Amino acid sequence: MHPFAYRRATRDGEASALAASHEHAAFIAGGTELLPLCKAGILAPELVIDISRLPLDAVTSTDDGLVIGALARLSEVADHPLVRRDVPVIVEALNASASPQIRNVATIGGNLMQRSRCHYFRGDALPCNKRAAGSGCGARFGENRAHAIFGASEHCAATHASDLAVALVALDSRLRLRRPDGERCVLLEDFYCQPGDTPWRETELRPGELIVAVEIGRGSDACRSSYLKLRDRASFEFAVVSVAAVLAIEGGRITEARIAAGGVGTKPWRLRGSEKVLRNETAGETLFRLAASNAADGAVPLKHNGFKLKLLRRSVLRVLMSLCGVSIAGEPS
Amino acid sequence: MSLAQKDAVPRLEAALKVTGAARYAAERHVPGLLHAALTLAPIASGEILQIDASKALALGGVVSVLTHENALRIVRPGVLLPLQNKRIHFAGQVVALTLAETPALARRAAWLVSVSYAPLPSIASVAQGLGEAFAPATAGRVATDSRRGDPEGALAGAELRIARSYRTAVNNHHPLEPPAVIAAFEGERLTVHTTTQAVFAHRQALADCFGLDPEKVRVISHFLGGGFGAKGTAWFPCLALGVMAARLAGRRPSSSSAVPRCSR
Repeated sequence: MHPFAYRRATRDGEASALAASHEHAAFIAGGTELLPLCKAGILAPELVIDISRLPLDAVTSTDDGLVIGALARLSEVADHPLVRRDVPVIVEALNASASPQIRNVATIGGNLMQRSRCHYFRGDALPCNKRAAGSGCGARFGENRAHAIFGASEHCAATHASDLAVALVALDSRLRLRRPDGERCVLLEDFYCQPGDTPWRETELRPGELIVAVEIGRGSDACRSSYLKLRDRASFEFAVVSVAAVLAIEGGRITEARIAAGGVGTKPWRLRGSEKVLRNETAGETLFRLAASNAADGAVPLKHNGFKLKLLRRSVLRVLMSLCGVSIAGEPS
Repeated sequence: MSLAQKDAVPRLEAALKVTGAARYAAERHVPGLLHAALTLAPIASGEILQIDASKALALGGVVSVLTHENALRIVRPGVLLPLQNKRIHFAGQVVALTLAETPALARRAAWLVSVSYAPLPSIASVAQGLGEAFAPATAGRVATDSRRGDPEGALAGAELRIARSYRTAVNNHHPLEPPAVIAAFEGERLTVHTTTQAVFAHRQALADCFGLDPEKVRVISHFLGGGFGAKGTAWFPCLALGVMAARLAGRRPSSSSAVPRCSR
């Protein structure tokens, strides 16, 4: 690991100013992501700015909705009464994330900034454009079972790893970002970049900019929501396919439907084809089967990940059925 | 179950191990210890073209970098010993050992050892290599084939025959005690703290490899901390590597008391 200087910030303005003034700076909060990346030689910051003592860990309810501080721990948010009452999809996504030990120290902002688990990126033996720009993409012609069916380019097919991000994208959440010269809000879905021909550029975050909070708008608290995660082992494992669904149903009619998927896209992937099928229709198995059959539209499978199309359709059906208390009789096409 | 409980004999070191009080080989305090870190081959088959250790050696506190170009030549029949030539036989094969004053420095320097390779076709699965399969007479000291009675006749006359292939999952060894070597030479006398399932066999093997009198070689393993076969023959290449690093470091007049620790 490359040696680095360590500074502890006491105000977020100070943290941002420090980071903006240094070319190779990194923020550290829980440290469960930054340190493994440093140890693996993927990151080598010269200055590490500790933001963990900044007062940004509150979960509050405002007129506009729910605000989750970026430094709140995953376990605190999963246990928070407001979150449990209004947005169960977040609780389910968090409790399916990492391990209890990691959830006790990892933060919301850090979770959203985690890097891909693509083994070409995490290892150093094979090429990866995220790790070494221009070196090529090992997944293109190598083993690619874990890779994306949505959003990949010839330069990168790595999936986004965060469960929380999938739930938050289904909730149309926004990020509040702060720099020394001001604040801005961006939709989380737009915060993440497509790989295109610059796969090393993963977010819209600007130099020195700090995530201070996640905002979940009013309305989501009136919805029912759920998160389904399918993985190769039962615990402490990333998603092969995951689905977050948020539905508002009034008198049997679906008035709002938002579905996002994880493990399948280069970023949390909204399934707008399925959403469109559901909106303004009467909830029920026939409708859910139709919505599920559209879930993988537009997917471009690689050599080893074609099974994800079927798995995604089935996952969408299962989440929709479970949200409405219906059990599945047969299998979707 | 009740019988087992009644007859259970308390294991002497169990409490030490589960409370972390057992001092494993890597935890032994030795004055003047140098630390080793390994650089591993990322390819499954091929040859080393060039090794450039200049960046690693330029760091203050880095003592030396061992490669196949400057390592001792050692021989052990039937064992693939590291740093003997430029050939790569498997991914993860040791291609360089960096010795430094601290473990962190050794690891950082090992990253800076730059190795270029000429890859060769590899065999990455049993199925891929079946065309070259052969039946050795023995595996270790055990015959690979054994035969009793009349299996063909018994099968032909059997009421029920089941022909089926069975596969088992890949298993990794995860002992409590991590593998480590601390080796110290005093002249021709060698003391090794390591984790081994074969204290005396490893003593003899080290004496053979390094031309020492077995009576002057001590191999100390207070707690095995779990072996499962991984700390027998399979452990010897790394054990020999740690001892080789101590041998070469010991020859430097300025660090005659220095002792390398080799930990994976």
